[in-house]
Amino acid sequence: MGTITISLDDDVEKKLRDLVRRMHGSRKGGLSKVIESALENYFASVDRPIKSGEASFKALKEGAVVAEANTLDDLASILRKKRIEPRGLRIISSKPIRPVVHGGYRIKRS
Amino acid sequence: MSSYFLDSTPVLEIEIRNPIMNKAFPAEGKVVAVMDTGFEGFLLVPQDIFEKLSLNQLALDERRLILADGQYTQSVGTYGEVVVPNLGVKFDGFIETIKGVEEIVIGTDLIENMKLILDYCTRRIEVEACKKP
Repeated sequence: MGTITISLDDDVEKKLRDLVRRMHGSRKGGLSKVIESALENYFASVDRPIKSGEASFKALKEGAVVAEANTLDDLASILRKKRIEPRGLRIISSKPIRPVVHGGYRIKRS
Repeated sequence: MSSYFLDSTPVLEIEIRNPIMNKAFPAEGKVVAVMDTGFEGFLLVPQDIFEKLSLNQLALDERRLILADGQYTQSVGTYGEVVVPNLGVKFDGFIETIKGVEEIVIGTDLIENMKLILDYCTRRIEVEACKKP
């Protein structure tokens, strides 16, 4: 695991810290988790252009891309051929998920 | 008939798959999912189904869902596949779960792949996959 020191605009820093606090509270490692997730989604979006609105998928193991394909079925097939253990893999899409969405009317707070 | 009204709620019969872990739910047949155009995600499932699909064995992403009362809740999820057997189509998308959800909910990220007509006059639902350009 590497350590990187960066400088952020004040507004960006505030938004980042607010997001970390909402998602992870004061738990240790929350900041790293949010930044890592954001960077992985960013890498996916810049590395492969979206064609005709279709997504493509990558499988990451310990941060490194081990397979990529246009569909999850094809991705799974590549992983099996390469005999890569699927447990713990991170699957990312060229169409990243939005961090906040409306949950609809079927969800009740538990 | 893959889509119909249960009382006044539009539902769609689907299969849910996790191709990466080679798991499917249900093991045989189809399951009924509620179509909710207020949900902006792809698919929301109860936690036990999430685990039966072994989706919890992949690295999970988190995000926030805004509830109808304006409060927020946290979801976790990863990517999986939804099959609509009667249409002969399948779609890949983000499948997520939260505590307390008791039904399978289809959102607009999945619905946007289909043409959906809800005819409450005749109580019929027409569903077809979008035609590719």
